[in-house]
Amino acid sequence: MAIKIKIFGLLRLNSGLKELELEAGKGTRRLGDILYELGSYKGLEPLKELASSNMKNGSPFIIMVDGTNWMQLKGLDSVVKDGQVVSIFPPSAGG
Amino acid sequence: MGFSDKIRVLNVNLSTREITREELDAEVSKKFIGGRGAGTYLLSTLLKDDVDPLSPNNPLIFATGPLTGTAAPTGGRYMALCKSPLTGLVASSNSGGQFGAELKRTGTDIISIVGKASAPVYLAIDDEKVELRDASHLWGTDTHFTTETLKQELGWEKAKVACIGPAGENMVRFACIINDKHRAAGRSGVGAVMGSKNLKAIVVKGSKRPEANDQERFMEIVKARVKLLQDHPVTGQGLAALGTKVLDNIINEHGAYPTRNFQTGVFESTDEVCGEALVEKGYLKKNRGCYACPIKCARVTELPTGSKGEGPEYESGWALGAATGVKDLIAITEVNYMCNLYGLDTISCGLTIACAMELYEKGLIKKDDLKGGPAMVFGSSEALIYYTKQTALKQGIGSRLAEGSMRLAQECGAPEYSMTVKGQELPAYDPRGVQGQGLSYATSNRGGCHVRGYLIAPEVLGIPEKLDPQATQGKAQWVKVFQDLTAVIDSMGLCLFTSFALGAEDYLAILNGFTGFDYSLDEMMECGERIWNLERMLNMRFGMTSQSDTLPERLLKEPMPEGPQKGNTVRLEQMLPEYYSLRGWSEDGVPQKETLQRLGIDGL
Repeated sequence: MAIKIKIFGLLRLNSGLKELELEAGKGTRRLGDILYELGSYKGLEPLKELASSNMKNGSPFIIMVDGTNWMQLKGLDSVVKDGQVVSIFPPSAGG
Repeated sequence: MGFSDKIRVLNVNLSTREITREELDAEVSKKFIGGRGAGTYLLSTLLKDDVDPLSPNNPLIFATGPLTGTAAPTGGRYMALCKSPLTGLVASSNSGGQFGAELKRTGTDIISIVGKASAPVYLAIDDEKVELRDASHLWGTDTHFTTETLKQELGWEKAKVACIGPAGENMVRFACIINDKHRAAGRSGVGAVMGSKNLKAIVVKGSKRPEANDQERFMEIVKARVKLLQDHPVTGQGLAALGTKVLDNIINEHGAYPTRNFQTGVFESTDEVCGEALVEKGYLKKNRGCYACPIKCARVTELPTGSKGEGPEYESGWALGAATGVKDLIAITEVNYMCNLYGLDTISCGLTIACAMELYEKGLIKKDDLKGGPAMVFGSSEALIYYTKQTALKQGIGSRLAEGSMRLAQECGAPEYSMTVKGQELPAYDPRGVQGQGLSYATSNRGGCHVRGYLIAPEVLGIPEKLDPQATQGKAQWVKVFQDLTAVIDSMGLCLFTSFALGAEDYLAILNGFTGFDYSLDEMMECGERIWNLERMLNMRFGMTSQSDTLPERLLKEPMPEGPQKGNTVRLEQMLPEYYSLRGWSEDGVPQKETLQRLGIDGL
């Protein structure tokens, strides 16, 4: 098993990355650490910045763990388990 | 041309061919701003309560706002208003492009059309010169042909055209008005009303540039807001790159992407049809903006089939895609082009076909009913293309589809399969995953609609702050504020997408800066509340009751079957009483006398 990452929007267009898998280590990982690691890919640099931000005023990024928004979890400190899906969107809106 | 607080109305009586001008009292612009607000006011004074929407007595109003045609960012919007043939309630459909701004440049704020022409006509406006001309040669032609032909025959290369296609002529209950070939006053059947009047098109050519009394100061205000829009990640980058279809994956991952007539909230083929796919497959050629727009979200597309056009946008792509189960982006885009050419509202068209597909699946529409057409099954591109055309032309079963899903499902004895509110098809968010949006749908003054209070912004996208989408507490207040502010933005003549980057204070600065009015923030928001209540009162005059402030049974009683929202229904009963109370309405949803007095509309 692993943690499945799905990349969307401008992050996908800029990186050319759509889906990847990360090892879950001891079975769980901190969401902030996942974002930091992803930030080393070309085109995903904003995620490294995001992982290092203080999130005082929330974040315009839309990140979901199995469909639950990270703001309803614990933000960067959310715990992601082996087998879960993390969906990552840059700030987005439409209508 | 300086700002006048007396709204300039061009009255056109198609029955008598009489054309007159009048100015509305200055109090109207102060109380209702313009656009949607002033248009609704005018509608309330002109309409008899029991008028048949497709009769000559139903007025058709084209209303610009004070900011339409100015340098304000996205200041090119207009509203088309009348009594809706789809809902029997207020129709109030907004559109961008260039038409509204050009109409303003002729020196007219509002066109008010009554009566019915004895034969097809179009209205040609060149500043003060207004003429009704024969349109017999255009009847039956599509919106692109009509637009091009009119510009050529008038020799007005730079004129802007709003027109109907065959769907409007045939009075399909969800026909739209198309302007500038690709922009639509889409919803509630305003195109059918135009068709019922034998009015094929309006052509405008103007030379008067609207300016504020203190134009220099106004431009400072404008420049600061344009910068805010350009610097914002959504309005400065995201919408230009991916358009509104950036939402497909977001809403699907959230589990609220209505699929196969709202039977589920997860579409397994989203990756095939999403905004990213439109780019990756090479169908997107470039983006385009409406008048004075720094956002530029429109999609200029070309398919491997050689077809070209604009779109699909999020709503259209969803209604013709996930809603019908169709996963072929080429077919979806082709049908989107078809809808623009025929003049059909994409949302109601897609969802009416989706409803028919479910009725077919349940055996309530029979093979014989299809009169030799392809099987009406979910996922069939062939059916989508075939029945869209049949609907526009009212051929075969298309004549039943043209009535909209509510009448179709009722006729089949199964009204529960019509995914409508107040008779209008719902848009692309399943409210079982977004509680506040459910309340917004249920209370929308024009029925199923996402642009009367877009709670998706706070509940899913985190704008201006992230709310828990499954919480019901506090949502009534959010819905009220969003509905009121939206009414202000629509009445000013600006695009709602500005609100992803701008706040109420910015709109106040723009509005006061141009008009020279000195609204406080509360007074401006009260204008929105006044407009909302006037629409509500008008709907009640038409016979609406609070019984229709509800949602399709499926969304209230059938738990979402799968995905992140599994098990959820809309808990409307937990939000609606609080909403009525906050609005100053009775428990039956009727605006209290004191509320109407406070808003100064008790006499209307």
